[in-house]
Amino acid sequence: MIALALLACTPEPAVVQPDPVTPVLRPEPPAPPDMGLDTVGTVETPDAASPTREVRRMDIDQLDASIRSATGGIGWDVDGVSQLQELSASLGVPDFAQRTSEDLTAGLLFQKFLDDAANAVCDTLVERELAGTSNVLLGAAGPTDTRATNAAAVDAALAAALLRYHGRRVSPGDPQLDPWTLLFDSTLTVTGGDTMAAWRSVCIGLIVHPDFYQY
Amino acid sequence: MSPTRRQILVSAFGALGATAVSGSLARLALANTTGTTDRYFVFCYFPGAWDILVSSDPKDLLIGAPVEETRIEHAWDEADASTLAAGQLELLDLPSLRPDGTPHRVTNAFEPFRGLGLSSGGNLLDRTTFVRGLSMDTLTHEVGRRRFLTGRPPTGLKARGNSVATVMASLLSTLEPIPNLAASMESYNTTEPAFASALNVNSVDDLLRALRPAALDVAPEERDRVESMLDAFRECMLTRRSPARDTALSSRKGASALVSGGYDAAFDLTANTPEMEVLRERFGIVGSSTNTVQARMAMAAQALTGGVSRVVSVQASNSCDTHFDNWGTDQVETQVEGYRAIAALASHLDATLHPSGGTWLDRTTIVAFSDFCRTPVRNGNGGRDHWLTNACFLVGPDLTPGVFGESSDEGMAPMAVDLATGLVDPAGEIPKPEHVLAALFGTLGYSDPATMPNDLRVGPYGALMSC
Repeated sequence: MIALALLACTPEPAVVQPDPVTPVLRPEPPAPPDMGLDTVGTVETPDAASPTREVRRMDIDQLDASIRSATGGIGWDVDGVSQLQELSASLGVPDFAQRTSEDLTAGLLFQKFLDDAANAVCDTLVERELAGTSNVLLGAAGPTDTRATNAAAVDAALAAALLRYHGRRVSPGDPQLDPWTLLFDSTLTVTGGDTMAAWRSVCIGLIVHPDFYQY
Repeated sequence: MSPTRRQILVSAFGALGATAVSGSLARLALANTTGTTDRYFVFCYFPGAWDILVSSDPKDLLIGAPVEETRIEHAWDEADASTLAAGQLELLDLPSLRPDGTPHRVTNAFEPFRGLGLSSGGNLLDRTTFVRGLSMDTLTHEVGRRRFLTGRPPTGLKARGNSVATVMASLLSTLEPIPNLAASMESYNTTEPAFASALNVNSVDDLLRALRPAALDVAPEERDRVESMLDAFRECMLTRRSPARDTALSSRKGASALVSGGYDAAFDLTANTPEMEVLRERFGIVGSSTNTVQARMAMAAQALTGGVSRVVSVQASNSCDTHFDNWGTDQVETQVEGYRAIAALASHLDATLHPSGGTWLDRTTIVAFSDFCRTPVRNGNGGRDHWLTNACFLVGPDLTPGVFGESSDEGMAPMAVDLATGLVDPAGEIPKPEHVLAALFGTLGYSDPATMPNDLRVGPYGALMSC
């Protein structure tokens, strides 16, 4: 108890105060160089074909869903059965018995059945578009509009289709739209002005184009 | 060692992707220049691991021996063989003899082979090469299957190298529109030109759909416009620097050519034509389903003799994976169904004259294999599990008929053999699938392990080769 009492009464050691230090201010950062922010400069954009990863093909489930999404819900179905699912074993979809990974090469069978799918869904889509029961392809263009009669509407529809199918945003008049306007116009020419054939060609072309199924 | 012409060309064309080698001229440039080229191959796969004790390696000299000593249990009386003429498993003598003069035997599961008389004399069984005592080094289905497909041990489950079928197609194909056709079979192509990749279909119906125009096809002039647009895209720099896109567009051309080639009629097995009636009769195709062993084998026959394919791989049976009492009910019947189908294929090839003379069977090698074999002793469920050993059989113009290699008399283990004679030799090598596959390359003129195709790194099982 006495020891505790002595300990309790031990005076605290004196606190040594540091010498007062004069604060040193950080130097001002150097003034940024004049970047000419008032003007827009040029940058070197990466080359799209630079040695980054190679494009890869979407799998069959993604393809089925993408076709339905792009066409406003039309799939390659026969009697209510998705043909892409029906052919899935031949298209390399794993069965998890003998095959556990999906073959994603865009080989002969894939191309054949993709083409069959595009023909089927685009025929249905264009029929609906021209009948006015669907409007995911023609936009403001009328069923008989051509680029000769209503270029603005047709070009706008083609630009919208390129965004819808390929995720590529272009403005009417952009050179990237040229292959599609050419496809539309040339199909019109060879079919004697059949706008349904022209829009169907565009739809098929958009689906069988690698930009649709490879990313 | 200086590279061969083929190696140089493969290297050069490989960099250019599918486009450069899809033409027949490029194929001719790449074709095998080492030796024989006038050959065709059919790979017949028995999925699920077959029981060789009831078929190709019956260990007949041990029937009745104590199971405790041999660790080999035949139990043939519990295996349903009711569709065989004898109604039960029996032994068939083969022409070849063991060194001690006793005959080699297989079971009457090969009755369809013995019953098939060939135009050149003898029967199919007399022309068959059996290889026993193979070591698979695995008890995993995928590993065994992929090792036999490629001749190389997989990395884990992942196959290494190319399927031998792919390499064969690359070496031999010249003008066939589908050099490498596979039905319900895996196929690999890692280094061979794109034209040698298998067209892999799940059923004959799917093949038919692939060869026919779409049910809803657009007018030719409309199709031409789409193709022109894609051609223009293909020409652009972006595509040419993207092998995947170039391959995709090249494949589209190939698919289109297949459709316009009019090959579908050869595979319309249910068509009401005299040719198809004969085919259905020969292969035992009943009903409208073409996703059967018989239909797949008929497909193989049509692909070869119709000049459509150089190499065909087919799943030749239903699953042999009988861990339970389905061993008794299904194992023999499943194998026999496959052997009947192979005999039908051989019969068709033997009955069909090759344009260059002789029959198609004179130029075709048939290879039958499985993942591995089943345990020589049954498990508690009356079935048989996985076993490291294997056997296979081959029929081919450049092969020596008979039996080569042995499994051991205790537990059916692989045994080392002298690969030159096929006789058991403790100083020899344990034979593996790659030795058998190297022998196939050997029949085409490749014998040096250093230059063996597909980087097999082994010499051929020389005893199998007659040339």
